[in-house]
Amino acid sequence: MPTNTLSPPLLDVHDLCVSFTSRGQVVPIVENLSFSIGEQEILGLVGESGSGKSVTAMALMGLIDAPGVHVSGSARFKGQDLLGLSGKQMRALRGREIAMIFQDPMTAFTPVYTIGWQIDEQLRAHHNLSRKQARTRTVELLGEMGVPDPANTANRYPHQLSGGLRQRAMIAMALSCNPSLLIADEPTTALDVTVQAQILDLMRRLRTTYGSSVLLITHDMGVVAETCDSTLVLYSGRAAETGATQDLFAHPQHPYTAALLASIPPMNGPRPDRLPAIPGTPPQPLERPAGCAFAPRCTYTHASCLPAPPPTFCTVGPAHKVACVLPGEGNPLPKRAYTSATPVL
Amino acid sequence: MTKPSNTHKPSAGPWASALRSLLRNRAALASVAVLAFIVVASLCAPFYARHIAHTDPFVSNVAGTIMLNGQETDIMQPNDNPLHLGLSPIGPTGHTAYLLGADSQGRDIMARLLYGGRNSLLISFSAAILCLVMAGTVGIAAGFFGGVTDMVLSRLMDIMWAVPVYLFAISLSIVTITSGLRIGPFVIEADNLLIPIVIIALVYVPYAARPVRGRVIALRQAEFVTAAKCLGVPRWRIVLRDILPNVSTTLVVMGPLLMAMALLAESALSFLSIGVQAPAASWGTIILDGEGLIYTRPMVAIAPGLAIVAVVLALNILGDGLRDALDVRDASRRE
Amino acid sequence: MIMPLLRRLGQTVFVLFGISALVFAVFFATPGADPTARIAGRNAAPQTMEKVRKEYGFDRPLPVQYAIMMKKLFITRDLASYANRGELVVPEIMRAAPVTLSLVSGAAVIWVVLSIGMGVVAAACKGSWIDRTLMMAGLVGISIPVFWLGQVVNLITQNRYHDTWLFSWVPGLGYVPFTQSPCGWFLALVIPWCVLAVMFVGIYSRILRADLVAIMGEDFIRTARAKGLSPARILLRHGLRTALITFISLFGMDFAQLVGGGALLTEVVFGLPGVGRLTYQALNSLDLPLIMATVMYSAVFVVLANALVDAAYLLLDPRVRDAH
Repeated sequence: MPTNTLSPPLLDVHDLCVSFTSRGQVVPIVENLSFSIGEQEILGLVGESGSGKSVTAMALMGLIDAPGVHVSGSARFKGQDLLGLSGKQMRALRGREIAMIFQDPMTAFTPVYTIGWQIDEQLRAHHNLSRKQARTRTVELLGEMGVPDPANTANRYPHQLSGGLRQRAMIAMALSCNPSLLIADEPTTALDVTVQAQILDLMRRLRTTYGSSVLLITHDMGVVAETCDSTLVLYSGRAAETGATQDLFAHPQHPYTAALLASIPPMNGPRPDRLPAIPGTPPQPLERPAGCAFAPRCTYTHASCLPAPPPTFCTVGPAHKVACVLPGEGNPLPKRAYTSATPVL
Repeated sequence: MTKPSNTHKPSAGPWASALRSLLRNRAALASVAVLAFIVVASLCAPFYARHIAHTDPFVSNVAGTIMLNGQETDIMQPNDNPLHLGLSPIGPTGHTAYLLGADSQGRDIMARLLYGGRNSLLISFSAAILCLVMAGTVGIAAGFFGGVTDMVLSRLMDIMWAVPVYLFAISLSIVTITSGLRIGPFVIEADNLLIPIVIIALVYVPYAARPVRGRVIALRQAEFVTAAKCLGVPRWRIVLRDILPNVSTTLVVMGPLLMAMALLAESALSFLSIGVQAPAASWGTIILDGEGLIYTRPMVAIAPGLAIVAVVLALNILGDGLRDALDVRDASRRE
Repeated sequence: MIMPLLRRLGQTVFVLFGISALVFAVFFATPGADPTARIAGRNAAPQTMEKVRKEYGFDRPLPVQYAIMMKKLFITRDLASYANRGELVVPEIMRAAPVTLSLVSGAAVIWVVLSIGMGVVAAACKGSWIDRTLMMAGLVGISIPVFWLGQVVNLITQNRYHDTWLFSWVPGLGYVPFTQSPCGWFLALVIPWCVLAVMFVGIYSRILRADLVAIMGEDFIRTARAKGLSPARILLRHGLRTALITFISLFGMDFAQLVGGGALLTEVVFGLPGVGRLTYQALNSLDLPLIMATVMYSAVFVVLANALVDAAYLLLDPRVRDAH
């Protein structure tokens, strides 16, 4: 849980928009996204592929430099606007204050250097350390991440390690400079289920051992339930719903969230023959409806869903907001038969 | 970052869209224009020689004279050195006759340049086509059938690959130049253009067959080929209907690049006097003729060299343009 | 570690055998005239023909002929040139080899340095006019026939502008052994080095740029950027280092082919008495034993160099190291 919800959040994103121009048309990828992460908080950013999760992370890291891509809005991090920083200022922050780990640990390490070399490199990029000091710290970090025989593992090449070990090394590298914020882009998707659980466990412990906040990007509601304090659901580049994970899972207010949750097999009780699925596919950015983006697939769609602008966030509980017209019209979704957000592992 | 590319209209086929993107590529269009100009000029060689320059570029004309500004001028002229020792062919005249001057045998360079262009272009074009056919066959056979076929063909390619291309071509040329080629009842004379064509095509086969083989191996594991196999479609039919159309883009992209390399190889062989045989001309043989005159009449060697550079450059730019237009990966990366 | 090495050795031996068989076939089994006449040269006396036929076993089956030829080339090394008054071929090649090696090594230094510079700058400025200019320059370099470029350069440096301050230092065509005068060696080779390097600068800078651009889109480059490294470090230590794997393997092939006689045209134009020029002289006198020997030696050299490249590959790419 966030230790102190009253102090200013570590990261406050306001009205983030990412779009690119293709053949004279502006294609919006992320529209007016706002959220915040408190100190030591784990925020889950959930959505289907193409919903703009990764793009959001890349935009925050200042890693989008493709020509024709336009990023606007603000992202205040420790009093600085990340989106307004110069390349050099951003570089000093990247890796040191904000670190990122990626989905596929297989391809995320440079294949021709040892794991240890690559962690040393990051340490030495931000701290004035000798080779030897850096290596000592690297071995220490690898050990803390549960890598067996860290001194030897540091001398091995990425392809020589298993996926789980590689992801641990990746996390060790990300944490090497004690970042305040760790952005994890689908850190467990490419891993076996058992390894997945270990990595998630490791990430949960980070905030106590390293004091880091985590922005966890995933498409897996199960991962969110197990790991995150609060959750932000993205649909087609727009925020659908946000709130404390417990609230949101217990009482989803957006039909999309509800449908996502309904598609998770229940842990107890009778197994349904077929899990309910959401009909249709998310709209392409250019075909996004003017009103609610989910309207074409929603069972509750009615006249007020369709006209522009898309529904804005309305508060439905403490820190629980939803971009849906239903609560405002006095027809909130019914409570879900869901007992607890605690992991069942 | 993945950007959904829904903006594409799926109606146009790959060839049509490639053509459209090629038409937008100004450098490629310019090279097509240059190539077309040189080809047409070369085709007009007999017309130029007979009706404009009024010379026969295949007979020695050491004792001849031409009319310049109403004066009868010797084609072989005394050297510029103080003692006027020795004779040099006439330099560029600026007139239709002997526009670029004469070579050591008093022949019109401009006319020979055009005739040489015919041979150089014909040889390089035919060699490129022949090479593509052979490489396509070898690459598809090796990639599609795999196993022993692949092993034998690949090893053979490795071995050919290990001999420097020019040395390989030189060896084959020297052997055929000395005695022609006799295959059963067919006799190919040593001065037949087929000899350089076949030799150049042959030495570049490993170069072109490798990418084809790689492409075919990738395709063989593609789902639509597996599906066709499972349906019991005969293998030759899979090759013709599924493999060949997919490999054809690779072949088409390689075409201009191969022709560029073939032109360079032809000129090198002719320069070494084992390509096109006298009295026929090619750009390489003219450069060879000009070698001895390089300090006195540099135009003899410079003109055909410039022609080679122009054609090879145009072909390379065209090849690049084709690759950009046809290669799906490159196109998406550029967006 | 022993088995992979043995396998590699086996492959090398196989390719060597294949090449020698191929070259032998080209010279002696091409359909056409009697190989005796080819070896003995044009208008040889009947006695010479008879001697050649005996010596090379042309009256015996092809495999025996092949064995005799290999023995003459590699074991007894007494293959003699008939066109050139019985001069032994193999020592002749050995004398010419240092010249070729000098020419190719110097050119290699130039082309590696220049192409890495051009490729990296072009990749860093991707899409800008700098990129387009460099790549167009590379394309022009690829399109120039080397023997013609050599002639034009000779025209400029030896003749037209030789008396200006710019090229007055250029010595006449020919070779000066390093042992005789290092400075003379250098001056005599500078121009040939540059001319030979032109085409390879074009090829390698374009390949390197394409590789770098592709690599810069890889996941591990994104990781390197997320680590907060400087763009220069990302491009050089991560991008270039990875791209060098392909670069080196191509370099090994081309270097070997050039040393093995691929620099023939440059040697001819600049009058450098290397292996290539030896081949050229043999061409003019139709000296078949000499040509065959040079081709064979070059092929052997290429194969051995390839084995070396493989070893370098092992050093550069840890993934290949483990695949063995």
